[in-house]
Amino acid sequence: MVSDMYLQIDKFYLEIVTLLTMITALALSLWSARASHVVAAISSSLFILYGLYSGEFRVFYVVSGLVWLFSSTFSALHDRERWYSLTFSGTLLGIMITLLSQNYLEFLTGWELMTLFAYASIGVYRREWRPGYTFLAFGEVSTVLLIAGFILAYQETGTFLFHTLTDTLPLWFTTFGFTVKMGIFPFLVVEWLPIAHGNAKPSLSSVLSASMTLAGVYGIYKMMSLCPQTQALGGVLILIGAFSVLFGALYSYVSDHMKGMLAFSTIENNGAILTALGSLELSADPVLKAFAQFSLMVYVVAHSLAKTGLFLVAGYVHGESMSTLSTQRSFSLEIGTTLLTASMSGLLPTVGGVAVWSLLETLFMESISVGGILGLIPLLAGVMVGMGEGFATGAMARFTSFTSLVRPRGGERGRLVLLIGVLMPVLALLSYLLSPEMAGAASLGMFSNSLIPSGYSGGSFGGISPLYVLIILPILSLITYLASGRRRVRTVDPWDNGSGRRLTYTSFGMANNIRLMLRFVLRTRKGAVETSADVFWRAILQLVRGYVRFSRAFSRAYMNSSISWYMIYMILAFIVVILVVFL
Amino acid sequence: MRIIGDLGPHCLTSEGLAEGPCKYSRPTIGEGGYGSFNFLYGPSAGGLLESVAFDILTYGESIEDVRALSYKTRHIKVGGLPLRDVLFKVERINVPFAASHTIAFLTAVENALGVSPPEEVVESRIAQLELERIRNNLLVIQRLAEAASFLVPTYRLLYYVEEVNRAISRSCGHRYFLGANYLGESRCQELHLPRIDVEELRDLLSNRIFIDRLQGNGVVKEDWAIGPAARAAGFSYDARLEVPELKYRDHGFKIVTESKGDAFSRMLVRLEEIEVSLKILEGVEVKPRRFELPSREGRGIGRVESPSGDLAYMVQVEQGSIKELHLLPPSRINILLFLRSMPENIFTDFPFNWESFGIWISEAEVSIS
Amino acid sequence: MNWFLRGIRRGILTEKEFPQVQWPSELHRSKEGEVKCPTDALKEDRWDPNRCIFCRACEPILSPTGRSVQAQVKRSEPSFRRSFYLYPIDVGTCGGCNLEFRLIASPQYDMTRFGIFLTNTPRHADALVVMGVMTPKMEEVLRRAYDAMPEPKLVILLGVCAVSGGILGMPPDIRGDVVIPGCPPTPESILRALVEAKSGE
Repeated sequence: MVSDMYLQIDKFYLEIVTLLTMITALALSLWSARASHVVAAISSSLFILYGLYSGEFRVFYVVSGLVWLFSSTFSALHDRERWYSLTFSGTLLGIMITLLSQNYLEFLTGWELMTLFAYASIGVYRREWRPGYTFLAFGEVSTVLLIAGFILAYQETGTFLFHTLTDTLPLWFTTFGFTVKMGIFPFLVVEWLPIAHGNAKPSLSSVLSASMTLAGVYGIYKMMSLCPQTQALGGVLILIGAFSVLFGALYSYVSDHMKGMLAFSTIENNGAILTALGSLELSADPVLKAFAQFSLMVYVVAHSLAKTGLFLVAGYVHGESMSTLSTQRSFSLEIGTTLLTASMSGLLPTVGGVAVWSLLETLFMESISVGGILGLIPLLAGVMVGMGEGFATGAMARFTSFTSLVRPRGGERGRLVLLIGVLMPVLALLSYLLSPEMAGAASLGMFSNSLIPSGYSGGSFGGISPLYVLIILPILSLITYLASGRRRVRTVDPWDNGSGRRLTYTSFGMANNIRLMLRFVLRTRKGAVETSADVFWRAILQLVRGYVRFSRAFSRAYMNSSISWYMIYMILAFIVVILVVFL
Repeated sequence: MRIIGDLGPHCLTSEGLAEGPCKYSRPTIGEGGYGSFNFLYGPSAGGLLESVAFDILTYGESIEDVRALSYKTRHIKVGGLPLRDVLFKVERINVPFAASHTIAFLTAVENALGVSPPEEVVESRIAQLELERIRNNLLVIQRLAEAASFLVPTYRLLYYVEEVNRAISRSCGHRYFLGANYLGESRCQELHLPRIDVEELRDLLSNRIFIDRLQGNGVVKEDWAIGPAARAAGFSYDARLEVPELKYRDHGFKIVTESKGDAFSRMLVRLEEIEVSLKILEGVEVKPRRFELPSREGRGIGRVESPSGDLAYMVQVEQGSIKELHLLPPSRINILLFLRSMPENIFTDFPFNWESFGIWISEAEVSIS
Repeated sequence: MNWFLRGIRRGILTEKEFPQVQWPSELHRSKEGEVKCPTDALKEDRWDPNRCIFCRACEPILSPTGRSVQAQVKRSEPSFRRSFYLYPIDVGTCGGCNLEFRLIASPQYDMTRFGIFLTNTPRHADALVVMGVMTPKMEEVLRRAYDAMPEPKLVILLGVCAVSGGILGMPPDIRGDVVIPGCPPTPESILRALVEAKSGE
């Protein structure tokens, strides 16, 4: 008991110290950018420590802390502008407050703070005001939905503190508020426009992409734990999540803008996380729920860290168009990028592989255990997620090839990227800790608890063993290498059909066959700069333009500066007021 | 009147020589937008039968424009050489078309010397030209089937090509008619007909997937097209109808046309022509024959219908040797047609369209002096 | 299904003995007389197959025997006994050698029963089949193709143009391990030479 109490007090002090350190970072930014970033890094480390002591939200805190730690370290090494460090640490502070909040008001404060500081960082530099403005506008839309949800919750409980609720309406409102911010279909533009066209630096892009959306996931997860289970919401989330996976991955594959590719990849992964959340909400089976929770946590870990690493890779590369990049290739960058993109493609033995596997297993098991028509939803979602993962692998392969593997050798940079990359297989091993159970399959050579099984109340379903793959892969490779005997090596030029030209194939060209095949869906036009467009954003723009035209026409008809009509309006208003007072 | 092509400094038309270079538009390479780049196919690649390079302007998988780069240009000296030596060289400009080249050359020489060859020689020449046509048409269809990895027809057609080569060898000595025609002499002994079942070929080739790859591919509608490409587009162009000296009319020759102008139509035209050629050969008798050639001077033109279109020679003879020689190979014009027809298609259409024209680089890129 | 039944009814078309071809084949003197050979293939009564273009100008003083022209295999490589991949490169042919070379895949000759295959890139090739006279632009291409091939490798000169230049030019400047004369060499002589080069039968 006493030790518990000490733990509580320690936690409390740790929390205060962490917050204060971040506020110091904010203040320091007025004097020195580097100092601010270093202090922000220290604050992130403290936050990780705090997170390790927390209860069920441990994963969210630790992952957020790691993302901030890597981003601020990168900024400490490379960024010198004070204005940037101000907005950067301000954004981090906002997210920190959101994650540490104990009541609705604190949550909203952190949320708004985060949005405003991020807008300041995105929107202010370049001549283009649209990216930052879009970001802010949709951020406010999400805030409005959040406020509506929180007001409903307040009405029920009478207090701002987080208490369990019986009404599901707050959950609906807040969930949609959070999904707008996450760039989920049809609001894909919220994610890709600021990152691709705004002036966000690599470290801020990774925060926008990994950490801010993580705050959204945290919010949904929290509200789900407070409200009763609604299968309808689960189904809806699964479907829109899966749809985002498919379209995010497709746009990522056909995109030729480096940061645009990563932004769409973020949308895809957010969709997958949303699908995991929806699966959690959809199933009532406790075993399945535990596994769905596992898949959610692993996905969160995999995406946040890998995406951070990839945005930092983008920081080492000059140029934005994939077809005209130039970079100095280094061993660290090569290995790091390969491991990171392997994780994002869902390959074992990285943690991304465990994540994708567990998500698909969850969906399969749900379609069996949740019977009836409702069981079709996870099935459909599984199809879309599978297709999306295929495109994602293609996009990631293209990303690695054109940023790291085919350039002239240069210096030794990018050790940070290597560090994050190496984390990918390491975390796959740590996913054993998150798994609800472990088993062994001695007949297959997987001994004592090295298997992560997937199961539901109806029985066991399947299993995966990252440890096994991690051990077998190097062993088999080594055996093949040693068995191939003495090698005679002669270095030659690549075979270029004898022409003597350096034959190249651009990144744009590699994705062009999909652009041509899916011409109708992607609205591909030839020869223009933007060769395929986000159809949802186009649709939204059409709606907006239509609305603007209607409103103009309506206002001209309504406010037509004719005295007689104004008299009629006044009389009508008078009648309506009297009626309302009476009733 | 139709334009055939540039023959030396003149333009050869169906009614004789005309002034200057022929008037038809040459292809120009366009500029590509963002994301376009140049893709090089060749010169030494497994899918090409000969060495030629194609510079393709593409956005990736799409073909915006194609340019052909020459790599195996041979320089052949004929000026001042005696006729017999020039004949040996002419035979080896393009050996699969050796009969067409030789007969066109000899016809030009005979025109220059003002001589008409006797009937047996004319019949023997018709037999050689038709046998060559059968073999080359089978080869074109075989290359199309091979491009589609359509293996049973590929091997059946290859079998037939070899059978035709053997029939030619039994008839005229050499599998490619080399040494079968001399000045004032035709050495083919007798006619052996190859046994070809065209119905079987039609049955083998009617496969939806294969036809799909050929239909709509490389549409050619230019009115200066020649050979099977022109006939596939609906034009009734054939030197066998236009050159009376070849005496095809007496052997029941029927022209074959299609209307769409795509690779599929070109294949159909060639398939039909195999049947027409077999029918012509049934009514032909081949015997060896010699005749005298006077020693005069003069200039003459000889034109035949080679398997891929009109082939013409213009010679100026002086004292038993060549003073001037000009060649109009069909492949030169077919290459222009091919380059015009390629844009708007995609990479996978490329080999089909290329093979469907029956182009031989060796006769297009030879420079004669 | 028709093609399948037809094929079964037709039986095996691959031949063990090939029919005789008169031109090109080994020539021998059958009459007395002087002959002016355009490529100097007749030196002191000896017929040099490496220079003969089979133009039949020497008929009837020399006449064909019908035996296929013998190739010279200067070096053979036993490691290719079971699998022999060829990469053809055309440096300046008339088209005849290209066609005759492809005909060794026809059902009558069937090169695959001897373990001979074609490949699309010199990287996977065991032997480089060079055809045609040397043309200026193809010199570099030939050299690059030769460099791209891994050891052990063979160079096969196909056709009299590649061996001695024929009547149209100079031969390519590369040492050939297998020399196949003929204009163009028949599929039979090509096949015999290849089988000897990979030292099998």
